[in-house]
This record gives sequence, structure tokens and C-alpha cells, in this order.
Amino acid sequence: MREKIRPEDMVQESGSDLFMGIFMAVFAVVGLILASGARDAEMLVFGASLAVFGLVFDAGILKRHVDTAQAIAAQQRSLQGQHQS
Amino acid sequence: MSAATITAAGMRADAPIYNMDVVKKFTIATVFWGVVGFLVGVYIASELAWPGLNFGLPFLNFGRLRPVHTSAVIFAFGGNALFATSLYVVQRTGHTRLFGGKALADFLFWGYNFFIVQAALSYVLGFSRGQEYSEPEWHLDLWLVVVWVCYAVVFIGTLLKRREPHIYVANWFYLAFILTIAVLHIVNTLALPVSFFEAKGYTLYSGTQNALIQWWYGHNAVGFFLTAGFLGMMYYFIPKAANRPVYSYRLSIVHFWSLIFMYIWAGPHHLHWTALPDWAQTLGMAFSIMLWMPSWGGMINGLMTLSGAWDKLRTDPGLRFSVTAVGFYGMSTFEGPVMSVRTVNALSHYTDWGIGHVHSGGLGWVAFITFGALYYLVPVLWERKALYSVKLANWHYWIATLGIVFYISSMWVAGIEEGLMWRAYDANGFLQYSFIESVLAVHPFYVIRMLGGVMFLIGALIMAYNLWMTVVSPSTEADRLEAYRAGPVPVAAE
Repeated sequence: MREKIRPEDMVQESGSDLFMGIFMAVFAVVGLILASGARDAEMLVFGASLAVFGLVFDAGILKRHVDTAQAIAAQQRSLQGQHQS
Repeated sequence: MSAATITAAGMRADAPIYNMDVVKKFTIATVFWGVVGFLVGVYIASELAWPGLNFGLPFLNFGRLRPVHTSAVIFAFGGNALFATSLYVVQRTGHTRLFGGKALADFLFWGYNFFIVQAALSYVLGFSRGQEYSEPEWHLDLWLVVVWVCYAVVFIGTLLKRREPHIYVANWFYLAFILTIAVLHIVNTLALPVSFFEAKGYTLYSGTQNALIQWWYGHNAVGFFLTAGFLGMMYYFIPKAANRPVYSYRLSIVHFWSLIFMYIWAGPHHLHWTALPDWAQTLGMAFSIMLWMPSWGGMINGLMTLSGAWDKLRTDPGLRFSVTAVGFYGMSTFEGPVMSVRTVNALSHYTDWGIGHVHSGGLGWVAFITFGALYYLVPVLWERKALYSVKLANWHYWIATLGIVFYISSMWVAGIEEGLMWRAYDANGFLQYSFIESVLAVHPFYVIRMLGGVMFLIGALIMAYNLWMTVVSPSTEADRLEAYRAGPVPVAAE
């Protein structure tokens, strides 16, 4: 179930999504660089895991954004329907 | 409560919508890592009793699995519990949603647990700084700094945007824990990597200085991670569960400031009879003894909060866990100063007495206060009227308590026996016993210790089942409302 958020918190939520999205993308790139040049097994595991972590985290942010946008659109359609009837 | 509008359902119309999603995640992780950490503990305890259990495999070696156990119980189980409760308490007592949005809160959870998993993997692969409770290499240390700074931003940001004028004392303890751990971790792990692409790094300090920095960190990890943070837990969950105000708010403030002032100096008692200068050893010893008072200030405040509500111990197993935890806290914070006295330390150091001491604090205080918080939190977070089974929680309590008794009493006996054997001389002035004789002498106690650990693990499995069944049990609208009200009732903590 989607979490309810007050309108005054929405600005902070979208700002947080944007900031963390960029932040994690940078870490994913750092992870790739570490894995590509790794000279031991530990750095290979860490670098590759960091890259996957960053990608999956960003995918989660994108999914939540799309879900929210779809839910708002559906709600607006429903309100318009009620208004017209 | 202000003159805010009250809705028909009994909620404030302007009530904040908290971010409980991240608290739930940390709560689940706490239970998961608790079971994992106790399981690894039982395994390595078995290895000490029967060394053949490492099967000659490097990744099953005691030296590699021991930091997996300590990191799992301290940083994974304890750390997730501190994240869960601090993020819950700061929202409820500040009447505001977490600062920084959902993405940042989610990063705290996934980022911290990513660190835990990576650290465990690095230990079994054979990578370690070789410094107790600070084993991860430089790249993992840097990642933890990133996560920890975000944690500080979320916690402090939430405090700053609170809608209550007062900062409740539990938040002071959580804040001290967050800020001091940041300082300790950064200073102790300053290192020069061999290469950007290699996991190995070398500490900036050397010799005695490195030892002193390490135990300044190590003892304050105990003081600020395992004590201050969990005292924050105590100051919220005991008053809430007992439905009583804190016994003395003034005492809570006095013991807070004295505790954080004194703890930071006590580290050198880990280095008695070493190359560390005598004056530094004495300084550590003196502050350790002085620490007894603020420690017991917290214990007395926790116990006396039960005044007028002692009968609840019969019916509320969660509260019983919390109060027993405070008892263990008092006991281990008495034992610690005693062991820090140089002459006592000459007997106790390097023996299993130390293991008994940390487990009376670790199992009795840290784990029990966490269990108490979990038994309170899970029904509230998942909006259930009550626990699935009070009877199972009672079983958990008694099995775990008995397990601790087995564990610590066997380690006390083993430790004193080792200390006495190592210092015994014969008539000619030669050492009376070889080291292996002391190992053989304590073997029965290692088996008893392992059995104590098994009992503690069984108790945790019972708790995990009970909490899981609580979460999946049916819930009515009335239950949900009651669970909601359990939070914002303006007594004790709010």
C-alpha cells in the first residue's frame, strides 16, 4: 500500500528523490571504476556490489515516482468523473 | 496536546504522517541479524570447545568468523535496533515526519545493511584491519562514513523541524551516540590505502599510539554505541510500556552529561601493564571508577520509573525484558570499573572473565532492552492490538535469562581459573602450568558457554516466530486505532 504524505512534505520528497538519485548514480559509477581496476577479490566484490546497489536503488526511486504519478492521474480522472456526473 | 482539532476517529486533524516504513524495515532487520549473529556466536563457541569444527576451511576459521559474530550482534543487530528506535522516537517525540524524505531514509536502511553484508563478506574472504570492533578495511570505512553522515542529517534535521518545544531526553542520548560514533570511527580508521584498487590500507598511527587510539575508539564504542544509544531506548520504551513518567527527569540530564564527559577518558584501562605510560593507565582507571556513578544514575532512573507499576512485570513480558536489562546494565557497569582497577586487571585481562563481562552487558543489557523495545514496537508499527502470544514471550524470557546465567557464570569461573593458573609459580620459581593445561582446564566451561548460547538462540527464534505471527495476525479497524493511540498519548515520553 502506498504511503500517505502531506502536501507540505511533497516538495521535500521530490527533492530527496532527485538528490539521492544523482548521489547513487555517482556511487554506481565509482563502484564500476573500482571493480574494473580491482587488484584483489575484495575490491572486485565491493565495486561490483556498489554498482548494482546504486542501480537498484535508483530503479526503486524511479518505480516509486512512476507509481505516484499514475496514482495521482487516476485520482484526478476519478475526481473529473465525479464532477461531470 | 494543543487545541488542535480532533477527528471523529480520535486523531488530531493536523497529526503528522510519520515515516514508519523505514522503522519497520529496520525492525525486521534487527530480528534477522539477531538470529544470524547469535547463530554464528554459537558456532564459534562450539569451535572453541571442539576446534575440529572449522573442518580445515579458511572461511570457517575462528579468526575469520569471530568478527562476523561481533559485527553481526553489535553493528547489525544492535545498530539496526538503534536506527529503528531512534527514527521512531525522534518522530513521535518531535511530532514530525523524518527530515530528508523517503529516499534518504531508505538509503539509511539499505546503505547501512549493505555495509554489514560487505563487511561480513570481507571477513570471510580474509580481509581485516586486525583491530577489534574496527575490522573493515578503508573502503568500507568510507562507505560507513557516508551512511553515518546521512543518519546525522536525518536525525538532526528532524529534531530541528520538531513541533514540540522540548527535546525529550531519549533524543539527547541518541544524538550523543550518533555524533560521538562519527568522531570515533573517523579518527580510528584514518588509513593510507596501498592503492585505490586494493582493499588493504595501513593505519596512520603506529605502535602505542595506535593501541591508545584503538582502545579510545573501542571503549567508547561500548560507551556510546552500546550504552548511550540503548539508554535512549530505555528512556522512551520503559516509560511508555509502564505508562509512567520518568522517575527523575533531572537525574536523567545530570547522568547524561556526566556519562558522556567521563566515558571518553576511560579507554586506557584496556591497556594496563602495557607500553602505555603509567599516568595514562591511571587516568583511564580513575575515570572508569568514576563512571560507576553516572552509570548507576541511569540504572536507578530506569528501575524507579516502575514505581507504582511493578505489577505490570507479571503481565507484560516486554517490560520484564526491559527492566531485567536495566538490572544487567547495573551489574555490568559495576563489574567494569572493578575490572579496570590495575591489580584486578592483572588477574582478569586476557582471560575469559572479559568475555563473561562483555556478554553480561551484551546479552543482558543490549539484547534484552532491544527485545523489550521490539515486543512494544511490533504491535504498534503493524497496528495490532497485542502480541500474538504472551506465553511464547514468557518462554523467550526464561530461556534467554537461563542462557545468560549459564554463559556468564561459566566464563567467570573459566576466567578466574585461567588467571590463577597463568600466574602460579612452583617452589623453584618456574611457571607451574603450561598454557595448554589452562586450555584443557576450562574446556568444560566452554561447553557450558556454548549451551548458554544455544538457549539464547532458541529464545531469539521463539521471538522471531512470535513477532512474525503478530504481524500476520488479523487486525480490525479498532485495533489499528488503538495501536495509533498507543503512540501519541501525551504521558511519560511525550
